[in-house]
Amino acid sequence: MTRVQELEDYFENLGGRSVFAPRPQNIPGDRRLAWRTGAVCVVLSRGRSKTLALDHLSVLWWAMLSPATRELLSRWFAGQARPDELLVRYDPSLSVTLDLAQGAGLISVSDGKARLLAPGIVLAEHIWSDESVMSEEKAFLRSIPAGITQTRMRQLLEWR
Amino acid sequence: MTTRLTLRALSLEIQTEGPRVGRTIRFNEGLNILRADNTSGKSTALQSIIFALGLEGMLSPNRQVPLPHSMTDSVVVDDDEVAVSESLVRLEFANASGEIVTVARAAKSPSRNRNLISVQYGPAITAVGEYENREYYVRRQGAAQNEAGFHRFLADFLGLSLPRVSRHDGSESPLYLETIFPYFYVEQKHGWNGLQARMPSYLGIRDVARRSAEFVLGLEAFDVVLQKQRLASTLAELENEWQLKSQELHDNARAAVVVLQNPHRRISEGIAEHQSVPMLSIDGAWVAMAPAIERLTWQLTQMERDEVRSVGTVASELERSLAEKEASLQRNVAIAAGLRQEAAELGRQVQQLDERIAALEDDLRRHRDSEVLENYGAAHSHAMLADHRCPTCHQEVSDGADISTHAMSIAENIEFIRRQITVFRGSRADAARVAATIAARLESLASESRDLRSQIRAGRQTLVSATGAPAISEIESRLRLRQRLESLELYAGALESTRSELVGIAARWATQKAALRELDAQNGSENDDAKLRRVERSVRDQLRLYQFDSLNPEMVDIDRETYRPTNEGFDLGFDLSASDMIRLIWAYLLAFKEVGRVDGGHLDLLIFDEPRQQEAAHESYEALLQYTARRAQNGGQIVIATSEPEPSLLDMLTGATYHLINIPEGQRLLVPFG
Repeated sequence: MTRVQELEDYFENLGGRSVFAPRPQNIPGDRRLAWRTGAVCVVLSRGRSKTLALDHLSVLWWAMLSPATRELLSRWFAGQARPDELLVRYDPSLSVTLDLAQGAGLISVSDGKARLLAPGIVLAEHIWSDESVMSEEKAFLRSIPAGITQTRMRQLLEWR
Repeated sequence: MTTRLTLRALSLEIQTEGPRVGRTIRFNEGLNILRADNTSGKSTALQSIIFALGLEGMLSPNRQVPLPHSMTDSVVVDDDEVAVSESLVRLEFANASGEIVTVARAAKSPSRNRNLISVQYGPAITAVGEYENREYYVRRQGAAQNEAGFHRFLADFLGLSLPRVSRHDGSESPLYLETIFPYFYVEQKHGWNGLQARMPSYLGIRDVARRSAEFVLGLEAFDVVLQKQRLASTLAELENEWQLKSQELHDNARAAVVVLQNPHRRISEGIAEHQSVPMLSIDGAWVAMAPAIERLTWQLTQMERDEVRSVGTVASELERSLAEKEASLQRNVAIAAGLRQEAAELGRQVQQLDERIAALEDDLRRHRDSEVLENYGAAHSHAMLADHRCPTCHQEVSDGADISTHAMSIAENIEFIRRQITVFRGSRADAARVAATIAARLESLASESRDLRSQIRAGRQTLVSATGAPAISEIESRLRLRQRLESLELYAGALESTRSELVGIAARWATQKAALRELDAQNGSENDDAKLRRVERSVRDQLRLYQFDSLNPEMVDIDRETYRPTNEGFDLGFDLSASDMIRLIWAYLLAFKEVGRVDGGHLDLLIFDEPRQQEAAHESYEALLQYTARRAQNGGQIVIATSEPEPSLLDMLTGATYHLINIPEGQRLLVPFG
């Protein structure tokens, strides 16, 4: 009797019915809706009049996600990055996050710009005032210049 | 008695888009009856008490405000629904020594965090004035233990010294207030489903129902449990000390270049006479330290008595030994090279594990943040962040939907990452331990090689010297012998004293262990039995009054292990008629109050939200009201909320002493101010 036959035999004589249920999977913390929504609001709250162009937002978003990229972007702004090491990647799930945040009334997106609405501003203020939450991300946002110009952004994205 | 909570006044204040609405309710000592029509908001009042005390955790593990929507969303004023923009709950209460505080907590506020509770040190509701004010927080980790935690303040104020108890995972935590309040408050929705239907098990406390019953009744069994836990922690400390001293003994042995014969192992086995005896090898034989020192001293005296021999006489002997030593040296070098490679590999492993752990810690932080953010965000985007519904299409949007269809919940994920971190920390510690062992071995090889080299050098020098000159190798071996003796004498004392300290630690451990075993063997104390008999007596008497008829009340016992009512050894929780279950809950909680108020941890307060459930017979309900009124005259406070029509209520209370808070028929709890 082969191993497969043995198993088939075993399940046939088991009497019950086998049910296969998916086991919950471990996901990275930055995939949590609450985290993503909070993070979008915090990033936007750093923009001039709480507004950021979408390409600008996705650069900050990309950089914020890992310690290595946080360090890289900080260095770029300090003028210490090597030309070959900075490659901004676009995170497709940012669009979904923006859609959801817009639907929830936290932000509005139009003309290639995302703007914080009143509930989003309150949420961002909550996050800024609670020392214990998003500490690394906030430290990173504080470390880069608050008003980043379009020119500077273009330099970063197009290497001009 | 020293633990007590007496409610004095409750004030609900709601700012709407229209008028300000709310109500202030005053409570007296003794029996308080809050009468109001069905759905007029009685439960709002009682749940507000729980909310003001930050105890919603006794109802469920989630962090949503346990208040109806009239406090958070919209409220009916003069038949119109108006939106709530801000709402506040304030509660004034006293402790056993008559000190009064007023706590305030926002149920909805654009500016105030819901997890903040401000405490005014005075009767701020019944006597408006300026009182000292302090802020505390709830529903965050540490709320029961930190200085700024409200539950730490509350426990201190009420005179409750909440003991530490074991959790399922073996760690310790305080017996949280949430676990004892089910003895003081029965809420309407689920509280009457069964005995202790609301005992919070999610806090992970082992045998939580038993521990809290023991605490509330002040049973000695509880002290025994605590004593056991204390002994267990002393044992753990001794085990720790044993490890440290053992390490010290091994270190000293290594430094003295001696070997511990029959090394000792576990603390439970102790150290026998023949164990961990320092031995050293002299001329190929193992000798204990004291005789070895004697022998080496004698050898040295012998050597020094003779003249140093000349090169000519020792040359051939020397050449032979030189060859042997060179071979040994080569062997040593080869072993060391292998070990070094292994050490480098381990170093890389440790580094990789460090990176892994750092990444996991980063992820753990994000999940923890998500937990807090979900709470913050729920206030602004409830549908999406609390109910996980898409705000536009109302379909489910779960966390991480773009990468997994079955993501873990945040709590599960936190636990999962924690376990991973534990595993990786364990592997890291393991790798580091092996690396340390290899380093020690390398060091000893290096010192051995140094010795060999110096002997070889001395031998060669001797061989190239003039035949008549004194043999350098002989002088060198005399010097080495003297050095060896000095080091042995230096370490002999240290080794001896560390070893005897270890013997002492093992003896202390054995005594404590015996005490623990004795406690394990003990059965319940007589005092405990007397208390439980009083609970039993009271439950039976009350059941008779309430016309309990599922079985003969005399057949109802209180189990000595679980402290729950049983019949012939079977838990009564399941096979009672619904109305008899209600009667049993009344009797059981009142009996706990009567017994626990004397020298237990009972707060001498009992709140029943709509105890007339399941159409309990009129006579039974009347018996309950009369009984509580009589009992409450001995002190303490009982609050009963009911929707019984006023005339029939007054009829049932004939002859009783009570304080009636009546919300007239047709009126709601929350009404416009002024």
